[in-house]
Amino acid sequence: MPANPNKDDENGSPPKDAVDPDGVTDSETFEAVESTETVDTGEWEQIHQAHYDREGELELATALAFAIADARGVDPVDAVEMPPLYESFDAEALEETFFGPGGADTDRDEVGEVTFRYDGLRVALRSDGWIFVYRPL
Amino acid sequence: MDEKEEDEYTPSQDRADAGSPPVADTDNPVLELDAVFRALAHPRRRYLLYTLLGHDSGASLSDLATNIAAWEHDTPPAEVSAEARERVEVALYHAHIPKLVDLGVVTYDADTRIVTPAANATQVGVVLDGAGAELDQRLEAHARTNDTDSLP
Repeated sequence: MPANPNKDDENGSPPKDAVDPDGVTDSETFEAVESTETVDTGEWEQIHQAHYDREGELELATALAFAIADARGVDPVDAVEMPPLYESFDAEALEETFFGPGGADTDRDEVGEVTFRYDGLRVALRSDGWIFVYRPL
Repeated sequence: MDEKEEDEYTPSQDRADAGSPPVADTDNPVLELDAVFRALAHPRRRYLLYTLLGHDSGASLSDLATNIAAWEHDTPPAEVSAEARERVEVALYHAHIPKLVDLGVVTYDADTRIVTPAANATQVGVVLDGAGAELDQRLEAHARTNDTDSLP
């Protein structure tokens, strides 16, 4: 298992908080899975969106993997060739948080959003089911 | 995500590491009950484990996905569509198997795509057998009858 002794940025790039103006505080936790080839300019361009249907056939992890595969032009069949999403976040926990029993039939005024980094991309999942995939500019 | 998660699971730096066996839990043969329940919290993981625990040599990602899809669609494994299998396969690969690897319950070989029981599998199996006998019968029965259809 590769060690991750120092979570602090050693590359002199701007603090991760700078790329998440909407205050997603756990972005730093995900720093380790960012592609080392990505130069983080703090600017992101949306390249794909998809909708997750909580009543549908797909588990959230599958819906996210397919959305990311689509964004990359990867055949969904080859979604198992990509790095496991689990390295970036726990899709099961997210599914429970946004779409689990209890929340489903409740009117909620706010739309929650979680963003995470995955293999150089930025992925946002909203509690209304929309998935947005961004790449760095 | 918190510090504890960081300690237990350091994200791999490249794809070749994706199937690395767990380090933390295999040193400790006693898997805490929390971890046992975490391993068993999702029906797809329970099904996977019912199937896998009889097969020390492991089972392929594809076969496991086929059997889970067969159970969920109430259809024989041979009639599972490629699409249905693929959807389960992607969920196993991206969410469930890494979690079980994390917990030291299975190992996953990224090259062969074979899932094998790991050090903590026995303990999970004990709990599964206890719960399965009373409460998880249909799932368990299906897993145990169908596993011979497509597994070695």
